[in-house]
Parts: sequence; C-alpha cells; structure tokens
Amino acid sequence: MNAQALPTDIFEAETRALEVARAAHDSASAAGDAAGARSHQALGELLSAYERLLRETRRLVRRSDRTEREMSQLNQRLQDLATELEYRATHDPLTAVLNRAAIIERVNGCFERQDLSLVVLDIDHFKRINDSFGHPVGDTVIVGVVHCLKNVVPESAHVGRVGGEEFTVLLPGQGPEEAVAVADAMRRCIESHDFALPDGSDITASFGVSWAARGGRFDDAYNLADEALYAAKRGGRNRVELAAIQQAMPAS
Amino acid sequence: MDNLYIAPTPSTPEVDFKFDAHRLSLRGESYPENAAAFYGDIIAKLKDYLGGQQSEKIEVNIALAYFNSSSTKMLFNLIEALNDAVDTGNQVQLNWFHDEEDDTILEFGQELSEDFTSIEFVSHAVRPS
Repeated sequence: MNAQALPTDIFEAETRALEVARAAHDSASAAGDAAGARSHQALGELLSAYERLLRETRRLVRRSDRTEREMSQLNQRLQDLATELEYRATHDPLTAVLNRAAIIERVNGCFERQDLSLVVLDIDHFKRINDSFGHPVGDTVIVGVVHCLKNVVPESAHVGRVGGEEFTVLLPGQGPEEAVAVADAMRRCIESHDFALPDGSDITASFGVSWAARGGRFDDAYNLADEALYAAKRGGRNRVELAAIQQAMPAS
Repeated sequence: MDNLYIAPTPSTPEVDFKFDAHRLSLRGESYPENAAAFYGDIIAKLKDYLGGQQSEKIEVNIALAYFNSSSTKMLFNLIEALNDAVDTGNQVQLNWFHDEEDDTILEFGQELSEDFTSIEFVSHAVRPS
C-alpha cells in the first residue's frame, strides 16, 4: 500500500485529469495559425466548463448525501414510533398485559388454528378496595394480580386485561381439565399473595373457564366463561367453575 | 497479499475481500461520513491485488440495500477498476443482489452492466427477509 494520504474527494481522478489538461493549456501559447488559436481557446473554455461541472456536482452530491442521511434518520424514527404505537395500541398501560382489543384478536386468531381454553377472572370485592383505600391502592392490587397470573400461566398463554378488575387468559391448545388446573393455580397464587393492604386483608378472585373447538368465536367462548365466572361468584367467590362443554370433545 | 475484511457498521457495508480465493464481497448499507476516504483505501488495495492477477477468474458479490450519492460515485470507481482488470486478461463475474421489490437497486445494476461491458453481470432478486 503506498503511503499517500487518503483521498477526501470523490472526483479525485477527474481533478487530476483536469490539472494535467490545465497545465498543458497554460504552457502552450496559442499557436501561430488561426486554427491553433481556435482550438487553444476552445480547450480553455472546455476546462472552465469542466471545472464548474465538477464543482457543482460535488455540491449536488453533498446536498444529496445530507438529505439522504436525514431521510434515513427520519425513517428510523418512523419505524421506532410505529413499533411503539403498535405496542401502545395493544397493551394495557398499567399492567403491560394485552388490552381488550388485542386479546380478542389473539383468541380469534388462535381459533383459526386450534382448540383453546379461556379463563375469565374477576377480583372479588374490588370496589371495596377502591372505596376504602383509594385508587392508587386499587392499582397496586391490579398490578399484583397480574404478577400472580404471569407467575403461574404456561409459556404459551396470553394474559389480557378486559375491564377494570377483570382479566382474560387465553390457553391455546389446552383442554378443559388443564385449564381448570391453571385457573386454580392462579387462584391459589392470588389468595396467598401479600398485597400489603392497610387493613392487612387478603385479595381473592373468582374464575370461569370455557373450552371451545377450533373454528369457534371469542364472543361465545367469553360468554360461556363469563357465565361460569358468575356461578363461581354465586358459589361463594374465590373459586373456579368450568362451563359446560358445548361440543363433544374430539376423540384423542 | 493479505485479505481485506472490514466489519459492517450501520452506515458502512461489510467488506470481505478474500484475495486468496478471488472472491470479493460487499454487503449492507453505505452512507459513510466520508465516502472518498472509506472507498479510497478499499479501491487502492483492490487495485494492488488486481495488478498482480493474470488470466484469473474473479467473483464479485455486491449486496447493497442502500447507498448514498457519494457511495454511488465511489462504486463507479471500484467497478471501473474491475472492468480494467478484464481488459488485462482476467475474467470478472459480478453478482448484483437486490431486494426483489427494490427497482432502484435493480436498475442501477442494469446501468452498470451497460457502462462496464467487459464484466459479466448476473442480477439476483432476493426475497426480503
């Protein structure tokens, strides 16, 4: 590698050609005859035009590079914002689990491929917590419940917050017995979790579970689980109830 | 001579010139702060290598998803050096990779093949990953 300084001009070769031609032009006086004079003058004009062309092209390229760099940064920013927007549009800001619209979309998407179980749960006597201790304490209870859910649900599950104190857990491909076991694990986790309430009381939740075959719809699965949830509430709360299976289970 | 490897950055491509295998590759995006400096060094080493080749079959792979105006000019210089190597008795195959949905890069490759007729150009459409 020769030890010359690195070029900083993209038109280095063109500039060198220009310098050579300029030197030749300067050292050659206009020849005696008229044709020689004309070509000497023409070369002089060509050199000036070529110089200007290089100068202007350099400016064009510099401008264009700058615009491209800005465009590329703006594109990156746009991508980041689109990602953030998509996240915000699908997640609950308080608990970072899926929001109502997103869990409905997941359930319907899942139904296209497989059977699923749905767990719907509601925090027992949540209104009492808000009324007695204020909304900030209510919020910590909701966050604590989500923490319990995330701790016990399987890897494949999707947790969503569908109302103030109501949650839906999607269990793709899980049968009703498995779903009831998962729901009961959630129930026990919440029951034993220390929510540090001012009066030292515990928090419990009631659960409804439904199972539906592939090709089902969110609304049906949710309504069944919701009915089961109300049966659990009527049955004394802090319980898990399974909705009646609507179709025969496929022979496994 | 030593092979030339420069790791990619967000604004400069990966340069992988395996001179011993006669396989030279450029991959990534190209909008360096100073394109003349970045490519000047690369082209100087390329010319050193090409100067020592005779009747060699050289494979060049270029997969640039994006390059700015300065880089475009320097690419012309790089490909001209390859074109000159053919005129001195070598064979150069240039594989030009472009995203199948990117007409800009495809057409640039086609223009290169019109300008540098000694090089054997092969265009490859790539599915976006």
